[in-house]
Amino acid sequence: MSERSFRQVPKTLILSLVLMVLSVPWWFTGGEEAVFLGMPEWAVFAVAGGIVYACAVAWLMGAEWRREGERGTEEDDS
Amino acid sequence: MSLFAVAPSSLDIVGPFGAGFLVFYVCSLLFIGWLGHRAKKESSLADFYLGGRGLGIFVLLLTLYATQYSGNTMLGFVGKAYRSGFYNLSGVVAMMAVIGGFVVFAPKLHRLSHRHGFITPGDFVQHRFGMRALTVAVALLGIFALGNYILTNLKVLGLLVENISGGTVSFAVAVVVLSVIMFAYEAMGGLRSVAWTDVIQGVILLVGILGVFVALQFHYGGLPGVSDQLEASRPEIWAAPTATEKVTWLSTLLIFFFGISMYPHAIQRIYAAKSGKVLRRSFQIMAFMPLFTTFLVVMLGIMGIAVFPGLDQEGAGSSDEVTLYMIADLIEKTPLLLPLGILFLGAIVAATMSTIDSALLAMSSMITKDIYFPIRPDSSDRHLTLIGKVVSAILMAGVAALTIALQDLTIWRLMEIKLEVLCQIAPAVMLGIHQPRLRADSVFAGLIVGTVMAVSLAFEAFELPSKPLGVHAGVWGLAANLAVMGIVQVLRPAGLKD
Repeated sequence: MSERSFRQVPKTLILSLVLMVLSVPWWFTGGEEAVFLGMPEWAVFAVAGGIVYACAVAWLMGAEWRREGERGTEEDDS
Repeated sequence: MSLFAVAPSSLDIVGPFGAGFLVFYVCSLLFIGWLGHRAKKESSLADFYLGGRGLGIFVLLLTLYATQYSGNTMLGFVGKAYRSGFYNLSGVVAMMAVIGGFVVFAPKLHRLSHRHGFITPGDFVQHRFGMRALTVAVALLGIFALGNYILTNLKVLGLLVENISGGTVSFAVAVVVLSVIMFAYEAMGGLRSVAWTDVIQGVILLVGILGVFVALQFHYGGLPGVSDQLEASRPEIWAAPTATEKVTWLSTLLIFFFGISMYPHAIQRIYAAKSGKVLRRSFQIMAFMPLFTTFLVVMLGIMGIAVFPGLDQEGAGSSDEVTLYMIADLIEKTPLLLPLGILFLGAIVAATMSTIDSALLAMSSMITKDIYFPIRPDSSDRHLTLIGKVVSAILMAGVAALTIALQDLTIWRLMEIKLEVLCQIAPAVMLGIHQPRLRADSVFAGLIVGTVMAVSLAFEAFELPSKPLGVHAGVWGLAANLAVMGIVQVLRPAGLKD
């Protein structure tokens, strides 16, 4: 297995985990909350964060598969 | 207009028309099972347990969808949303995190599985680490989790049928009859039958949820329409989560990321995909499905707070049944919605059955391939397939009996204990597939320590809460797992072989 794959996978894992951490509504604290579409502001943030996370996962899935295709071809050739 | 309603004492919702629809639906599953049997190409384990590794995008997507969303989603999640309010939106991102977990290992695992003919997750572990004790440990953890999963969902199924039939069909009769039907179509055609039935179940599930969500918008005016009642009955749900709750939120995402992506039946669908392209597209679509499923059922639970305030108090109904109360209320106030209500109840039955049949098939494959086959390595595929069917029958009977015996545990708690354990498999798969220097002994040591710690904490063995500092026992177990794995890996020189 190449050194490249050794480095890249933690990158996928770490990127996915970092985006997950960012989707948590850390920045909102108690008190009066503005309401949007019948939901408090922090809940809207959580849903929006989820949508961004889903887009990122879909992109990562495509990118990781392209890399895996290249790796598979390299291994088949060797 | 006041939206308040009282939880009905009887949930005999479906009536003769609905009962007829549900009976027709269940019979159609048997017919599809028979079609799956007719489509069999050979008597091999790959044909029975992986549908001949030929699932296309339509079937694969819907079988992934129907399997990932279960009775827990439709009743457990809604009940939890009723109790926790907007906080339960963490479940939406958590279900997306499951696909995030697959990103880490699915592309490579799919390629390896087609090259080396993997049937079970244990096959990959054995191929990668060559340590039988580790393979058996992974198989046993998977079997425990799946047994738990079937137990939870059979309970949902029994309660649901008992409730919607107004008690005409008892919990025990519902569990036994539906268990026999699930075993029958699974034994006829294996994964091919299960995946084909999942197509119907997935479509019913999606249409049912979307239909009820639209009806809620018209009937109650959606969330904006119930916000005044929400503020009056549960003002605390509007406040942002506390620091500990935010930590628990993240912990939930982690346990779904590392736990649900390790479900053996989900991993087997990676093996069963016709091609990498089909699998990639299915997962990319699946990343967005929580917006059309989990988000909508969380909204259903939150609107339930406004419509049925005070559930779980003495004399009131149970919050785990708020889904059924909402459907009953919709039908009572607008009888024209009866077909939609029946479709939605059918969706709950479908989601639950699709999860149970997939878990049963995966359990049977692990017992046959990871435990029986090493003892009888000269067995033919035909013999192993037969053993697999016998194992399925014994498992189904055993779990059905346990479900009837253990009716008083809450649905959500059972689900959490299961994920605590499944998380501990993640390092073997997620790291093992990419890190060539990772050794079997370090993974095995980590897995044992992590599992013991997770189970001990989950059952409050150290007089600690089950979620110390707001973090799930499974995540603590995973941290211990990784720490021990790292220590053993460093202390034992890489040149030493097992």
